[in-house]
Amino acid sequence: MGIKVQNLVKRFGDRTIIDHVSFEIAHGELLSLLGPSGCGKTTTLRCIAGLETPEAGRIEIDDEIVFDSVRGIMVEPYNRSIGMVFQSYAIWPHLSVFQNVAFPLQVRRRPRAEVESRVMRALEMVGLASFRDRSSQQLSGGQQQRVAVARAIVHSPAALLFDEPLSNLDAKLRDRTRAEIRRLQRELHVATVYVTHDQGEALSLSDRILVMGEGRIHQTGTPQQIYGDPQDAFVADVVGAANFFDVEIHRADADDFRCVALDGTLIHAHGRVAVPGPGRVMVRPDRLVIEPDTGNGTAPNRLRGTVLQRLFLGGHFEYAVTVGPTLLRIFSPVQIEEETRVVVWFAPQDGIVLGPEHVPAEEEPGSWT
Amino acid sequence: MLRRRTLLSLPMFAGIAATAHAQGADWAKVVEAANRQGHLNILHNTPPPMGDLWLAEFNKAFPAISVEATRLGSSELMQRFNTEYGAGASQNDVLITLWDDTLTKWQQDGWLRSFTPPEANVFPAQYKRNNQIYTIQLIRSTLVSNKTRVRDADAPKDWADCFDPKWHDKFGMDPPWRSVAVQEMLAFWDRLGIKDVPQRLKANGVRFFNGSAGVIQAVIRGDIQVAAVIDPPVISALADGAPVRVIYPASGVPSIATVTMLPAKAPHAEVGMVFLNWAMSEAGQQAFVDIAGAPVTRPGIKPPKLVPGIEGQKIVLSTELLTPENQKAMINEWRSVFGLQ
Amino acid sequence: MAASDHPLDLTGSAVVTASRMVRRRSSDAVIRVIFIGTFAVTAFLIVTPLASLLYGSFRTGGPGTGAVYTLQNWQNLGSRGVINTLFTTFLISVLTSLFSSVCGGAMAWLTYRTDFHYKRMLVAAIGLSFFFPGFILAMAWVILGSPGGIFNSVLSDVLGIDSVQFDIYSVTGIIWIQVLHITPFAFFTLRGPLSSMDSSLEEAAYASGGNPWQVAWRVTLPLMIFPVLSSLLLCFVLSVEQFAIPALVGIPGHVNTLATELYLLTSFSPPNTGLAAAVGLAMSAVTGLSIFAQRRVVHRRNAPTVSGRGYRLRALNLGRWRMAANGLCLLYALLSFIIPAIALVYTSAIKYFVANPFEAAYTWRNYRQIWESPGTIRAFWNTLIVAGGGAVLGLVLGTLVAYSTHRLKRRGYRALDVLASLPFGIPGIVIGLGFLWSYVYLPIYGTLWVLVFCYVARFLPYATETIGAQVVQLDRALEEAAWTSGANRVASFRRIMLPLLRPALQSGYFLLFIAYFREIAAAALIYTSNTQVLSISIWAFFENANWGVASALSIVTSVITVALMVVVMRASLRL
Repeated sequence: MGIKVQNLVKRFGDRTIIDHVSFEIAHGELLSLLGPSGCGKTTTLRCIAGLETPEAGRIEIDDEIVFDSVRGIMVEPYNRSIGMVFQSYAIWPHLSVFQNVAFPLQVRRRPRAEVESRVMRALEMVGLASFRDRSSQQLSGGQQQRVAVARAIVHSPAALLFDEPLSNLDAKLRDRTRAEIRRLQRELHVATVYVTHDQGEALSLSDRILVMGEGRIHQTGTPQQIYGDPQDAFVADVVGAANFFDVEIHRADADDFRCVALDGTLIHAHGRVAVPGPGRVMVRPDRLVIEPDTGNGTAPNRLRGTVLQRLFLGGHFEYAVTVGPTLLRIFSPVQIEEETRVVVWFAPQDGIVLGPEHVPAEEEPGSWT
Repeated sequence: MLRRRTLLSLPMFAGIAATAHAQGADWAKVVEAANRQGHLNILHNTPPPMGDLWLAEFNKAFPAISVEATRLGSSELMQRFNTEYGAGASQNDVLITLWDDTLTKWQQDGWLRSFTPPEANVFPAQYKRNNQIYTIQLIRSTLVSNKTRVRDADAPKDWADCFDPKWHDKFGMDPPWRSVAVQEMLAFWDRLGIKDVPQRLKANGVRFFNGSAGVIQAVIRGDIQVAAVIDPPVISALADGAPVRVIYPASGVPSIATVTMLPAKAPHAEVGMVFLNWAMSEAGQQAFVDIAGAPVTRPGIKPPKLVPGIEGQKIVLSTELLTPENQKAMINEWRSVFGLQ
Repeated sequence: MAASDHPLDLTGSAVVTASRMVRRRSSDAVIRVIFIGTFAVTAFLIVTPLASLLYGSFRTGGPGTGAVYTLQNWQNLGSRGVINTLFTTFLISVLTSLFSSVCGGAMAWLTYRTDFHYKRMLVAAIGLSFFFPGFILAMAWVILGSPGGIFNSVLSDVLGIDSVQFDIYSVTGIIWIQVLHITPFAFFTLRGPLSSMDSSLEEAAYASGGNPWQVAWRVTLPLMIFPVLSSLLLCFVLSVEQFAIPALVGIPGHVNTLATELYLLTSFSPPNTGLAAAVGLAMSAVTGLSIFAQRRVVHRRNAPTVSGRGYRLRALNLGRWRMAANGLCLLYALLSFIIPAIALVYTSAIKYFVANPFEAAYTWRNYRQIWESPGTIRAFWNTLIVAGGGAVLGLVLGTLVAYSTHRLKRRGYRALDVLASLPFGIPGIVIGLGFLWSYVYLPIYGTLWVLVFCYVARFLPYATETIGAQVVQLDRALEEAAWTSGANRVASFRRIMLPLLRPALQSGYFLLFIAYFREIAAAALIYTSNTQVLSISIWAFFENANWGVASALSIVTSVITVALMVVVMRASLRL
């Protein structure tokens, strides 16, 4: 195993930041820790790095124990085989690009020839070979970030750790860098932990995603699993835009749920909640179909509402539609005027039934924010 | 009558002669021991460079004895000695400082050595205290005025002139809470019958300055025109050729004794004795006059060049003037009048 | 072990790291030893004299005076005289600290963040004015600004203006001289943080159309809140403990400050060292509390401005503000250094004071007297050792303490922080008293070591504040990046923290050197003939009205020491 975390617990004072978290990352796998701020993802990363000392648990990197509360083992960060990229990049201003990247090798007393070639390889991999003698004070943000990456990989660590590395870049640069990081990580085939609050990053980069909230893991899975089959409303909301509306669950067979919406409409959907009773249905905005209400009677999964607002986004429109007390967000190429009465429907496999608990952080599900 | 006296004095003279002879022999041994010890550690308050130059004269007279001197203001000096001697860490062989009540306490505690140097014979009794503390020099309070701004006729001649309205805002002094010398001068004024001093001075716009040095510099500069101040800085100024007029009032000159003493326990006891003797000898006293320009207490020494000697002056020694009680009362009164209580 | 077909593998084997498996809860043993050592040394240096002072405050007199126990000293703290003096002192010190910080900060900002043309000269002028002990500066200004001084003579005799007269003997006069005296401290405290602040933060403001003044006020200043507060506090405390300037200038003006009172209590008859100890301790309590409060408040809002990210130092174009900037700096240089220096040179060359240079009697005698005084040469070497060498010790200890309290944060770091800031508010005289009372029993009494220990203890807060202000500005991630790159704590401190701290270290050394060099009050109580230092020599001549020799000695020592400092600073480069 590249990285193994078992039953990690971390407290600050009387607040529990990490609450019995366990996961494994194979060699060459990229696992994202995704969640809102304060969920404990950065702290988890720092525990793996050795910058924080957990209260309990066990951490192994490359099959070597670096932390074990039971046996009283705590290996300092400089004795772990890790490379870390910080959110602020932490490039040392008094050293040149070359010196920054060479640092991990120099403290390990590698011979000069080896340092030279490894550093140049690393710089080539991030595309900064010609910058080697530049003062780090002359670099742009994106360039600094690449130096940080080069520095993290130059000594071939067994684990790579990224702490929200893209959050300070502009959108275009972010997209480009995202792809580069993925490519690099694949090439190096090193176990990687990637902390982010941005679902787009997590979905596009990861082999697996671990969704965290309030110190606990909500769900682990591939991006498709997390996106398409969220275990609860929290996960659903974190990973993408989501609409929720309250229903009464009447029948719960595997893959065939029958619910009744607040206005009486019958809903067919699928999901995992077993117990009849109050619940919610989640549908992604791009899975809702919108068309003008021609008054053609009722059918399952057809909701009636009014267009409140419409935004043009180039490739499609974004609609806010009131259906009863609920506000739905819908992406559609169809053009409909505001204040038109519409029908909104979705296929049963696009509706996911969830329990009434696990309310996501925002007050209004499916709001514009 | 005469006869009886002569009769009586004969044995006395014989005794004295015998003692002197015996002393002479003992004294030679003391000097020899001192030369062997070879080092003098002296704690003194004589300002530079006079102190160093005077001690160099001692070194010339006794080349076998090297001199290590620490110079401090008298108050700090006494504190230092208090602390060091009290802790058993004192390295001093001789002390020279201004007379202060604390010295009586040192005598009571047995911190001082009783020793009568041969040269002490010629000194008047008031300058010898219990054979432990010897006054070798006097610091006198005096009236000064700026020659270029004050004519001879207008210059203050006696202490009462300080209150003359024509010196409104132009009279200066060291404040009493800062200087024992001033306290003693004020105690003398009280004895002369001058009353309500702080109030009257305040009404006349008295200016205070930081130390006698500050006062004399203010006179030279012209911030003030007349002042009551002790004479060491005045002598310094006169040596530089400053236009300062010095008057020692006929009604009396309050003086502070500069005293020398030997600690009871000293690393080089004989050296201390030899130094004390030299300081009181004609050579030592004359050297002091020549170097410091200040008067000494040994009779028969040539007066200093720039200021009058003590002969013919009505010297009032500080020991007679100040007690701890009236000292406190005086300071409290002054501080209240000037709003500092 | 990691696979050997790793793309970065050139030798065919993975990089071997140091032994990773540790069989116990490991923390860096060296760091622990260093922390404990720092704590122990600091505690010893500071607690010993303070304990003596505390003991002394309950006694009627010092050791050996037959003193008895008493509560009178502490009761006297509430007397009207003390309260009045307290108020005057507070007023003077608050104003002094404000003006000093503004002046010093403005000049530091001009020097390190703009394209001001005369940077080198300004730094030189500030450095030079730094060398004059307070009483020498006061003496020069008395010569210049007293009723009988040079300014008034020029006004009335030369220009015929009688209506305007200067009188330096006033609260304004005290503040004036103190500001000139203390501004260099503010300058050097703010220099480090200002010169390493991220430019892009200000550039954003300029792009929005702000002029240099607005940007300084609304962007730079709030970001520099921690160093600015440190500077204000430092200047306040420096001002509170000044005794020479208020003595020289305040006594004639009937202005009494706390420090002058203490000077009187300890140095003149009848001494009241018990009360002095009580007052000193009370002052220390107050300043200690304010430092504590400052830390609590500021740490919450503190945003590092040196993060290694976008670190650029673009000199700002002054534009049409250049004239004003030049004028300000020229004015400062004139007032703090050039004019007083001229007054000093004049005084050193004449026999006695005359306002008109054409009527004065000139002489070389004052300079000759310096060499004739044997103690002076020895004092010079002693000063070099104590100030030059001692400042190194003080800097090392200060850096260790600053690092321990701001970064290491091991158990007990808060206590260390409090300990290290205790000497802050205690006037030099009182610390000297504490050292005299406690060290007299130790074998090192009477050696230069006592002076060095006393100075290191007395000025430790200055060092820790200066270094600490910069440590706080450094992003934690810079060190963490070093750790995650494989450098242990010692290596990362040496290779990352120390180079980044260099401006503060330089300032700190200079500050300490000057502080040690000009210290009078503490030294006066504990020096012996072997350990006499130059400040004592100058003071002795001064107290005996030999202002000519005092001036001459000041000038000679300043010139020689400046030359030495230039050599030392060249060795560590970078303005």
